[in-house]
Amino acid sequence: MSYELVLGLEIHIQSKTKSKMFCACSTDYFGKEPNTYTCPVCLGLPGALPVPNKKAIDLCMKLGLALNCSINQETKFDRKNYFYTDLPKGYQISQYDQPLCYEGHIDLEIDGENHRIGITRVHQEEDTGKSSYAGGRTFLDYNKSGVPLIEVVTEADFRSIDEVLEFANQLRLLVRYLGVSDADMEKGQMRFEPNISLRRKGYAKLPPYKVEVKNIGSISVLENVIRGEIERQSEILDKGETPVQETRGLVDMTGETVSQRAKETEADYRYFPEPDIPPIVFTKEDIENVRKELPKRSPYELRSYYLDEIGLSPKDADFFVNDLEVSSLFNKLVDGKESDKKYIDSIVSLIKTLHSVIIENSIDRNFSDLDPGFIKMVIEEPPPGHLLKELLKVKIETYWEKDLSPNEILQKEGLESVSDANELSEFADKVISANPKAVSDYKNNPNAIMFLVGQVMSQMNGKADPNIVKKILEGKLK
Amino acid sequence: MSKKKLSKKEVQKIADLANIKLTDEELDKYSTELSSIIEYVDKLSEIDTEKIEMKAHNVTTQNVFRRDEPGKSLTQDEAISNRKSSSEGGNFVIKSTLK
Repeated sequence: MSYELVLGLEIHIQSKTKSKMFCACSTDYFGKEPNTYTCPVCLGLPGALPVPNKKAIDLCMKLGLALNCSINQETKFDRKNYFYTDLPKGYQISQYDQPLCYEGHIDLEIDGENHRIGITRVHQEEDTGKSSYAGGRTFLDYNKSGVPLIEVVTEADFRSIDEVLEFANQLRLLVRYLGVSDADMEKGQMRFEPNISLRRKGYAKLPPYKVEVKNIGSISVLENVIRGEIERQSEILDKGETPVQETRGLVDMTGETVSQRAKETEADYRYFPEPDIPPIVFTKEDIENVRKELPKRSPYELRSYYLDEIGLSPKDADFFVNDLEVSSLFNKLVDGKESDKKYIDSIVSLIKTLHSVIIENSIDRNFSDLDPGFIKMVIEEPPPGHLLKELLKVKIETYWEKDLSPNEILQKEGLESVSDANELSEFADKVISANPKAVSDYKNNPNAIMFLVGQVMSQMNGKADPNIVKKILEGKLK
Repeated sequence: MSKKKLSKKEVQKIADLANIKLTDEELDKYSTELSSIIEYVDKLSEIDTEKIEMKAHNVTTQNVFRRDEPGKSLTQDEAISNRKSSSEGGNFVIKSTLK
């Protein structure tokens, strides 16, 4: 018998905030000592008062708007009660009947055909603690408890695995691009829960059952799980039976699942308004302000613009699309010169250098705010290669808002490079006569010249371009 | 107003949701006790709320937020100091929750 897939997804995404959803504990918990990022609020101690993180609310709204949702101007938090040790309060603070965002959609293009997937809701909640199991005992670490978590719920609109995978990839790209989440799946920052059922081809009614699979932290495992369920459910349906409505859990990364428990019904959660958090009311203007921050192009449109119109490699296109700050600076610099290959290559290389300077030095700056004029000057008159990173670093750390040219900054910082051939030659001569052993090594091993280059650089306090020094030394030692 | 007594099955369901075990005698006892509590709370249904707007909160405050700024957390020792169970490597340790 042939069946049609009927699938809806719930996706949990950890927001990119510095502090937790309802308390000031840091969200930088990954790989840290257990229970070192907790406080009375996220440990669920009596009398603690949760206060919502405004940044998290804004990020949730931003994602909702990007998914074409309507925004509830009046929203609130609710308690979802269930008894499990990863939630020390005995309930999760979530949203029930007034989710922040509702009724959106996303359009997927697969093989030239449009597939619209309805978004039921996008709401804000909190993550739970981490449980691990060994020797008949459970170990509880509440560092993750209370980290802001966005839940996206789709309609049961998926009819093929291809649609699910395309959606998962696009959503991951979207949240990264918007700066909503890093969506690092290895760190559990994005998790999928499909509700899977099958119906006879040609039937329009929803199947009388659904099987939910919890906590899938990888898109390839998600694919395996769905394939496995289609097979398992087809066999049951072929026998004329109906699969049991249940929650299944992953056995391992192959995607094999096992029945966990009969699915709780909504009433079992006994939702009620969170009395400790006053309601939230947005003006139309509040919503429009967040909408204004949305980029004009979606990440998919941007990616094809990079590939087709600018001619970036797929790798470079992905690098830029994965980060709104990076792509925004890049777009400003392209500035109508899409076809100037040489210019584009130099911006790509410079932005990558800039990105690595920011990562290496853990600099906390939104670099889409960096003055594009400055970057253009660096491209037109590049500093000696060895000074580029240093120049970018001091520009960001010290001269962010100061209107100085690259050369002025190099001078002020004493970073200017000696390019006077006579001066360089003098230093080279001194080093050659002081290091006879290295000079004779060089005759047998050309790599030994790097020692001499290092000596010249150190005598000149780094104020020379090592490539030029190398050439001068090679000339002298011929 | 309901004078209906909670069935033992209903009490059992509530006990399951709260993850507690009840003996047969306790199920009997609590079905009587919980029923009288419900009956008492049911007095509220006597009030005519026809013209009252439905609200989730009765406070006038709204939009209470925090800025996204990390602050100090408890130390590990402080965090686990209130435990009833044991601890290991800074974790709370309890009987296995796996079935």
